[in-house]
Amino acid sequence: MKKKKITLRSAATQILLALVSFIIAFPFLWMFTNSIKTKDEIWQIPPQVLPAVPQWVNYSDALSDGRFFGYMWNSAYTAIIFTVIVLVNSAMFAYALTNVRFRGKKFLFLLIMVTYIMPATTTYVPAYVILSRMGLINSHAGYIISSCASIFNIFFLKTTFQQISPSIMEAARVDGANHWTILWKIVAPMSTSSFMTLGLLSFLGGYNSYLWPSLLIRSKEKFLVSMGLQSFFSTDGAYGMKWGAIMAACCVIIFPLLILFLIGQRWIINGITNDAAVKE
Amino acid sequence: MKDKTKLKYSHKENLTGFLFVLPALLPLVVFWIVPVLFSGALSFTSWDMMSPTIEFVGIDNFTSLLREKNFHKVLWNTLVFAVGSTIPTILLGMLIALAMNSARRGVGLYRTVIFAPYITPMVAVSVVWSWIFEPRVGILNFVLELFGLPGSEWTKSTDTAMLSVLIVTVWKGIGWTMIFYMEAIRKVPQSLLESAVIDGANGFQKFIKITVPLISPTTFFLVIMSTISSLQAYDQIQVLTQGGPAGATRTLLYYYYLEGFRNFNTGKASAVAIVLVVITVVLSAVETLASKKLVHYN
Repeated sequence: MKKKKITLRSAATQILLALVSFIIAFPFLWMFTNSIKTKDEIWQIPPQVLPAVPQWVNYSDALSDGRFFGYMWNSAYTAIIFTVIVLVNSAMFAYALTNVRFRGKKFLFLLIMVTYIMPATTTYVPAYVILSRMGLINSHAGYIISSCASIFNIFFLKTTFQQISPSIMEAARVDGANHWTILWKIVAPMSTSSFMTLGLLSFLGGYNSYLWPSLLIRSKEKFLVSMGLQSFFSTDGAYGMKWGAIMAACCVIIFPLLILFLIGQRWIINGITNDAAVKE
Repeated sequence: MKDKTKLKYSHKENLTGFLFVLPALLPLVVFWIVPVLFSGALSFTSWDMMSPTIEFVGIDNFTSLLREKNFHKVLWNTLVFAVGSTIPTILLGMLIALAMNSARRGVGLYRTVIFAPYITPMVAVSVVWSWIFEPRVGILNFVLELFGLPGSEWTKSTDTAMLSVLIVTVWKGIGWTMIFYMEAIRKVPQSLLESAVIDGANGFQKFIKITVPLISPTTFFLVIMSTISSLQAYDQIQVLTQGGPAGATRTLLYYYYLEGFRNFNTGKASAVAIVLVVITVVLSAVETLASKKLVHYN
């Protein structure tokens, strides 16, 4: 009797979770099926789940002029540069906080704690003015240098580095290693999974960013991918009604990220919950 | 004398420390800390970002904001958005995590699917959702009508535009809160739950009396993080409604964007920024105070 109740309950749990997963995944599925429908099929009532004949032509409509690949390239390369910079400078900062005894450390820590809750967005007007004085408006360089510090990364790596036994560092000091060597030859290799987590998250954050680059960058050929999509959507979507091509563009943007997530999810998911600042 | 060895900083360590923090500190100071202070200063001016002279106007920007009917609406919308995104994201994340932790198989797959929206670009998924919300042929109205429910104008109506933006925001954020709760619930000691069963507690009582208090630090962390990020929401609003219709989804941040980068009222925009900072700090403080009473630390 009891056993039956348990199986009934676990069956209910399975159905519930399958249903939730389906609802959450639905926009991606719908995006894909609409990307291969004809215009008539897209506008048909009741909606058709699958097209009679897959219309791959929507993809060539969206991609043939090559601009989306340009946008994706802009996003990818700026995100990679940004990721490398924030990993290196956050690691150095976190290492200094955990392993170097220097004057002003407490003050610095307090400063970044306070900065952490300051909404970054409220800095946009002055940061824009500063960048324009430096002549870096409408350039990828200006976008990268103005976003290349991450307090989240610093906190995250600080927590990681604190878990490494100080005796290891001390032994290396005795052997004559300097801080630079200890950080990159001993501490960093022991923290590879944290670096993977932050590397993936920083890359995704950079690749997906929209508001700040859209304020800085004006020329179409320098657009990042979200800006390119938004401009395609607002010119051809709402008025031009090229929904098939727009959905195709969304697929091209989203699917590589989903694949990256599938490959990297063990670092992303485990990393976030195991090491993040929750433990403080 | 006694603490001399402890207090003394070596020159070399000082220099190393400085050089190590510099690469991150420099952008942080130039593009974050200075701008926050700069915003504070600009909020007392009537600057327009172009003119060479900056006129000081005292607290005019703040008083005129507070008098503006539009601004009251903006504050209200911000509150509705913050509460309406934070609470469902956290509650649903918690409930799904609870189901996940009692499931026997498929957990890995479900977790991947439910978390996936979190890593996708908000702009692209909002474009997809805008098609789902389409009033005439959108799939959402079609499904509602299948169940005999009335359809809606979604992003096109002042009554439902905010709801539409919230649906997308919650959809994207559930996976994030879920993984934190899965970890927290997994750490609830089995022995406590078992002894509750012996005392005659049912599933619901166990959840309310044992699990909820034990995972409250996670809840507190998620409430703070979600509120802060909800105050920064922009992408989905830009794509789905552009703050409309008739200002129905214009939040503080969107208003800041309009004033700062559309109308070039730099002084006024900076005042809005300061209001946003104050609200963020006040909300975080209130939540921290509330947590002293409600959060159970072991």
